[in-house]
Amino acid sequence: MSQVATANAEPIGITNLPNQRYKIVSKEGATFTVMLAGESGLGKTTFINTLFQTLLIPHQDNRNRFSKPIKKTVEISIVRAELEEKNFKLRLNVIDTPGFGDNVNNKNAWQPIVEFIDEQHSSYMKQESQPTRTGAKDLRVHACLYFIRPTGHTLKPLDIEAMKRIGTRANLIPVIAKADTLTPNEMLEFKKRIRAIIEAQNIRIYSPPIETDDQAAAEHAKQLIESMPFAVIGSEEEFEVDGKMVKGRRYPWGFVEVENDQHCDFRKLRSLLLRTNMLDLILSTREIHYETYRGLKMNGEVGSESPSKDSKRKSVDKFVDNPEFIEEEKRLKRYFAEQLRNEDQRFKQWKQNIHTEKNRLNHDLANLQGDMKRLEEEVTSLKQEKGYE
Amino acid sequence: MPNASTLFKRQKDMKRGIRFTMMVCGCSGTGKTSFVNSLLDRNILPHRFQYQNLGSEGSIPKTITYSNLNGAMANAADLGQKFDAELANQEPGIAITETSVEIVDEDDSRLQLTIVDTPGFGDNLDNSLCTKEICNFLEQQFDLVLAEETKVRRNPRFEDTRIHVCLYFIAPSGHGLRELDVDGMKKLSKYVNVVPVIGRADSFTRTELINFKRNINDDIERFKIPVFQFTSDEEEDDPDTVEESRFLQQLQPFALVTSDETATINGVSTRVRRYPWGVVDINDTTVSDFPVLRSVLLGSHLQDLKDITHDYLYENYRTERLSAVADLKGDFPFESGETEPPSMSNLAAIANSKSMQKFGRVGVAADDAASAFSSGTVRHTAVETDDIEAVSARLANTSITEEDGEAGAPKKQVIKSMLLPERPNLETQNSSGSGAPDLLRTRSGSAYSLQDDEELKSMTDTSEKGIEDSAKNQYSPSITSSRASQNQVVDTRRLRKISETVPYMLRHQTLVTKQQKLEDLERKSAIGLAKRAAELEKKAMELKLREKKLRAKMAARQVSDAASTRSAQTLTERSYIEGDDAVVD
Ligand SMILES: Nc1nc2c(ncn2[C@@H]2O[C@H](COP(=O)(O)OP(=O)(O)O)[C@@H](O)[C@H]2O)c(=O)[nH]1
Ligand SMILES: Nc1nc2c(ncn2[C@@H]2O[C@H](COP(=O)(O)OP(=O)(O)O)[C@@H](O)[C@H]2O)c(=O)[nH]1
Ligand SMILES: [Mg+2]
Repeated sequence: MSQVATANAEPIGITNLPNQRYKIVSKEGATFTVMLAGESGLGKTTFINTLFQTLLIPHQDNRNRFSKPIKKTVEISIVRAELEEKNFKLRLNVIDTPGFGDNVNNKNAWQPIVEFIDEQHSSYMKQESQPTRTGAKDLRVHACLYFIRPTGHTLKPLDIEAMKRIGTRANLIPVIAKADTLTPNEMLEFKKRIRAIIEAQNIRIYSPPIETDDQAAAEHAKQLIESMPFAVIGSEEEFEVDGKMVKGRRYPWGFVEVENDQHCDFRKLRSLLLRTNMLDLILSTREIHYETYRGLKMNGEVGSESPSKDSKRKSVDKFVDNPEFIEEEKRLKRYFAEQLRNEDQRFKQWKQNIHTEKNRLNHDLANLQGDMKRLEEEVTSLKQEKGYE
Repeated sequence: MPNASTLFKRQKDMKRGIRFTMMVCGCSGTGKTSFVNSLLDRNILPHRFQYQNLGSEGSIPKTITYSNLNGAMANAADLGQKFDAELANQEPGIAITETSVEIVDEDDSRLQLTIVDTPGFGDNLDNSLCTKEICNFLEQQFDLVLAEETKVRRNPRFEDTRIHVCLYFIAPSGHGLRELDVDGMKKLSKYVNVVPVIGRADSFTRTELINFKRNINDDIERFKIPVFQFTSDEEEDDPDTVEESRFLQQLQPFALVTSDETATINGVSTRVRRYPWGVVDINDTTVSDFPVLRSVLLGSHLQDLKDITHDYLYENYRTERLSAVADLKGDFPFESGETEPPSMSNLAAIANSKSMQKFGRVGVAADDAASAFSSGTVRHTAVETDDIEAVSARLANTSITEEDGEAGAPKKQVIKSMLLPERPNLETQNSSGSGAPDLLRTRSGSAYSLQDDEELKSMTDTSEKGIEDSAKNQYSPSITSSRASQNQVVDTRRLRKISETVPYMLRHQTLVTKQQKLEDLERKSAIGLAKRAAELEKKAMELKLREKKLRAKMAARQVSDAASTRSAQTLTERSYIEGDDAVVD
C-alpha cells in the first residue's frame, strides 16, 4: 500500500516543517496522519489527492461499485505514502472512511471512525510500554477533516453527532465540501450557521494557537480561525491558464481555481495542515489526547460510568469500556509479573551460586588444612628420627 | 355505476381548469424549493430558515401530516422555519406539506397546481420512517378516491388529491444511488410516477455529469427501480412523438440547475446562479435539463402523468386491495349479511377482544361515506338498494386489507387514536367543519367540511337502529321493511369500514404517549356503551310492550279508522330517535 511520490510541480510545502517554530524534527523526517470523514461523495478522496498533488488514493471504479451491496458499513482504509521534498521526508498516513452516511439508518455510523482513533492511542501506549521502543507504528490521528455537504442550510444531526465524538479525540477541522456550488452570499450564511452550531452544540474543533510574540504568525492564525469552517474545492486536473498550469474545475460557465483565495479557502487549509501548523497538530495530538489519556489512566482517575459532560473524561471512559484495552492491561500485568518472577529466580540462583562457591572454598580450605596437618606430622616424625641419631 | 373518474375529471376541468399535483422528495438542500420557484417562475416557496424573507409572491406551505420517531415534538416543517443552533442536532422526523397555486396561461386556461413537499426526508439519523410515511400518505389519497368512487351520492366538492408525479431529487454525490434513494424510489413508485432528477447539477463538469447519470441509470437497472419511462409506440405514434420520447428517455435522470434569482440574458428573462467565476443560466439546455423538465411537466406529459396515475397506478392499487382480500371473506364477523352481529349486552365482553376494534369503528360515526345514506332510511328505492349492495360487497373486501399484513398494523393504531378522541365532540367537530383544530384537520376533513348535522344524525340513526333491529330479530315496528333496514345496517358498516381508513393523522409521538390513555378510554367507553345498550334494550322492551298494547288497541279499533294507527307509529319512531341520541352523545 505504500508508495513513494515525488511532487514534481509546485512544492507541496512540507519543507517548511523543519522550520516551524519548534525546529525539533528529527533527521528521519516526520510522520503525519490525517483522517477524512464525512458523507460519501463530498470530494474527500479528491481533496487529499489535490493537497498532495498526486493520485494518493485511487477512486473506486464502477466495477468495484457494483460488487458492493447497497447497504454499506463504514470502511477504514489506510494509505501510507512517503513524500520527499528537498531532502525532507514526510511519512504520510491517510485514513479514508468511505461509506459514511450512505445508509437509510446511519445510527452509530461514526462508531468505526471513533474506535479507530481510540485504538491508535491504545496501541501506541502498548508499544511505548514495551522494552524495545524502536520502530513503533504510530497511526494516531493528528488531524481529522470533517467534510460538510454544501446544502446552504445547516448541519445534519448525523454530522453533529459524529463531529462531537471526533472532536474529543482528535484535532477536528470542519470543511465545507464542493465550495464551488455555493454563491458567496450562500457561503457566508452557511458558515455563520455552522459556527453557531459548533458553539451551541459544544463541538470541539482545532484552533490554531495565537503566538503573542510573533505578530505575523498571530495574524495568520487569526485569519485561519476566522475562515473556519474552510470552504474547499478539489481537483485532480490542471488546465493551462496564461501559459501556466492551474489546478481547477472547468465548467462551461467558468473556471474555478483551487488555489484562488477569491474562490475558496484551499490555500489556508493547506497552510494550516502542511506549512504552519503541522507540528502543532502533531504535538497537540500527543499532548492533549495521548497525555490526557495516559495521565488519567495512570492516576487511576478513570472508571466513572456516568455520562460525564467532560469531553476528556468521555474519551477515557471509552478506553475503560473497550474490551481490547482491558485485554491489553491484563497482558501488561502478566508481563510485569513474569519479569518479577524471572528476577527472583535469578537472585535465588545467584544466592545458590554464592553458597556453592562458599562450600567449595571451605572444602578447599579444609583440604589445605588437612594437607598442612599431614605435612606437620611428617616434619615431627622426621625430627624424631634425627633426634635418635 | 358510471365511471367515477371520468366524471370527476370533466367536472373539474370545466369549472376550475386542470388540476395537477406534484410531489418533490429528497434530502434537504438538494434544490427542491428552488426548483418549484423556478418552475413557476415565482418565488412562492420559502427556503429552509428563510420564512421571514418570504416575498409577497410567497406562501407558507400547509402542513398536512408529520411524524417523528423520537417522540420529540420536533416537526420538520416547524424546525425549518427559523434557524436555531440549539435544535440543530434534533432529528426533524418527516412532514408532508402542500401549497396550492393557480397558474393562468395567456389563453386564460387554468392550471390548479398543488405542490407537495416532504421536509425532513433523509435528514434523520435513521430514515426508515421517511419512505413509509410518504407511502402511507400516497395510499391515503388512493383510499379517498376509492371511497368516493363507491359512494352512491357523490360529494360534488370532492377533490382528487392523488399525486400525479413525484420528482425524486438525487443528491449530487458523483458516485451513484444510496440505499435511501433505491429504497425510497422503489417503494414510492408503487403509488406515483417517480421521475428521478439530479439536484444542483452545476456541481458537475460535463464529463462528471455524464458519468453520474450513467451510474444512476446503472443502479436503477441493477435494483430494478420502476421509475417513469418515456415511451411511445413506433407504429402508432407520429415520428415526432417517437423521437421526443427517445430524446427524453435518454436524457433521464434530468440534471437540474435552479435558482431564485432572476436576470435578463440577451434580452430574455431567465433565472441564474451567479458565481465569481461565471453565471449559470438555468434555462441553458447545454448545462441544465430544467427547461426540458418544465415543458414535460407542465406541457407535453401533464395529461400522460395523470392518466397513468389513474389508469395504471390507481387501478393496480384498487385491484390489489379488492382481490388480495377476497379469500379472507367471511373472516370478518360483521362483514356478511348472514352473520349476526353480537348482542349489545355482550358488548363489554367484546370490548377486550380483538374484534372490538372493528366493532368500535362501526359504532363510531362522523364518517363521510355513511353520509351517502343521509336521511335515506326510509326513502331508498329498490334499485338503489341493489346498487348499494354491489358497492358494499366490494368495499367489504377492501376494508379487510388493513387487518391483513404488516402495512396495516401501524395505520390501525392511528385510526384508533383518531377516532376515539373525536367521539365526545362529534357534533362540534362536524358542525365547525374546516374550523376543526389543526391536529385533526385531514384532507378529508377539508373536503367534506360542510357535512351538516342532519346528515350526521340520520347516519348514526341508521347504524344504531340497525344493530338493535337485528339484535331483536326483526321485531321492528318501523315503517320500512325489516329486510331493507337490515341490509342498510350491513351496508353502512361496510361503507364505514372503508372510509375509516381515510382520515388519519400521523402523530406518532402523541400516539406513543397517549396509547395507554386511549386504551383505557376505549375500554371505558365500551363499558359505557354496553350499559347504554342495556338501557336501550330495556327501553326497547318497554316499547315492545307499548307496541303490543297499541297493536291490541289497533286490533280492537281495526275497523274504526286508520288515522290513529299512523299517529301511533310516528310516536314509536320518535322514541327510537331519542334512544339513539342517548347512545351517541
Ligand atoms: N463541484 C465539485 N465537485 C467535486 C469537488 N471535489 C470532488 N468533486 C467531485 O465529487 C465526486 C466525488 O468525489 P470523491 O472524491 O470520490 O468523494 P468522496 O466519496 O468524499 O471521497 C467526484 O465526481 C468529484 O469529481 C469539488 O470541490 N467541487
Ligand atoms: N449549486 C446549486 N445550488 C442550488 C441550486 N438550486 C438551489 N441551490 C441552492 O441550494 C440551497 C438549497 O436549496 P433549496 O431549494 O432550499 O433546497 P431544498 O432544501 O431541497 O428545498 C440554497 O442555498 C439554494 O440557493 C442549483 O441548481 N445549484
Ligand atoms: Mg472517496
